[in-house]
Amino acid sequence: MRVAFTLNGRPVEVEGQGDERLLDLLRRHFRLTGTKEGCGEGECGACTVLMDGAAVLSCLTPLVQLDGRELFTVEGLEATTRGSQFLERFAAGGGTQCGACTPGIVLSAARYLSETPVVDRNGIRRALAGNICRCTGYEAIVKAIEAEGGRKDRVQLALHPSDPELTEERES
Amino acid sequence: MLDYLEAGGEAEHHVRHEPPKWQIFDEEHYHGFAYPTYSYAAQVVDAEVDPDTLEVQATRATVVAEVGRIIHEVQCRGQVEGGTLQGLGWALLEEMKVENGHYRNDRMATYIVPTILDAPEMEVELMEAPWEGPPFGAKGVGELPMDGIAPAVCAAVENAVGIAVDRIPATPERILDGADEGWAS
Ligand code: FES
Ligand code: FES
Repeated sequence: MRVAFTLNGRPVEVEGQGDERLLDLLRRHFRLTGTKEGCGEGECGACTVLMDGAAVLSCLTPLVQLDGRELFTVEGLEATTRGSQFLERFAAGGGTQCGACTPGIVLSAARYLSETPVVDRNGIRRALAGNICRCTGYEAIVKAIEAEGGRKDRVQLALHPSDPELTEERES
Repeated sequence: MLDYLEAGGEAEHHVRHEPPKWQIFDEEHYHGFAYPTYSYAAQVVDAEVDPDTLEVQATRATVVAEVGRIIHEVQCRGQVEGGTLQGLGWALLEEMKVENGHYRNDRMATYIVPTILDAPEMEVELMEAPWEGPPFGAKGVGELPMDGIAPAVCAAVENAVGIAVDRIPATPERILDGADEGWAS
């Protein structure tokens, strides 16, 4: 079957099996290997991407559900100035160690930070409840997101192709 | 050196660390200094126990770790924080169950590890006491933070509900067993 959707702000069309996992589509077809497979059964959150602004597990999302959606991956986050600066700060503060959880964690975090004017520890914990990290003990992750929440130039998701920040990036 | 490299030369630089002469371990007879020195840590856990369900939530972990020499502070702290949470998983949730040679919980849906909601607030204090043996005096940090957490959790549970748990993970069932077996103090 054929589906059309936007991927990191760019309209795309793919032909494939209806039950193909979004995770495989991203990694194999689009070569966007930032999205990771951890468990492959909806438990770990490593494969988290944003669909119409909501965090979804790409290992459990079949191609048949993608038509007309807006998808956003960690590559989309990195393509924006604020996104890549957030990633730098997140890593510098020890928010990542092995990195397997990181693409999912930073997307959940970026979504939370974009939607929440005043961030706090409990809100961060709720926003990240679906993302398992085995390495960091979460402390450095929470601290990085708390610190980001205190910045005027904190990360903002640019989900739509018309978002000036994303468009600007792509044209340059 | 730079001039040489720019002119297209190749250079190799080798550095080798030799342990002190007396630090010898005989692999064949298992004699000598297998553990010539130790890192040290103190770990304190604050926990809440639900009196009805006996579920345990660790609310705060305080760790002081003496690691010899800190080589990269952010990563060193990360090792201590990560190990502390792994220790907490071991103390409260994680148990590999084997039956007839097969793992019964061989996937993340059945082998439960701590999420961010299980993680306590952590305070980590690193200390240095470099030791002559290893490079730069670094003694090691990876395994250290996992060791004291389970005893600290069990002590916190006993302190909260007066039941001594002698097996981990300290699940509600095991805490209840402890009460049944008359260990309530
Ligand atoms: S790989 Fe999708 S939740 Fe683990
Ligand atoms: S950094 Fe390794 S799982 Fe999170």
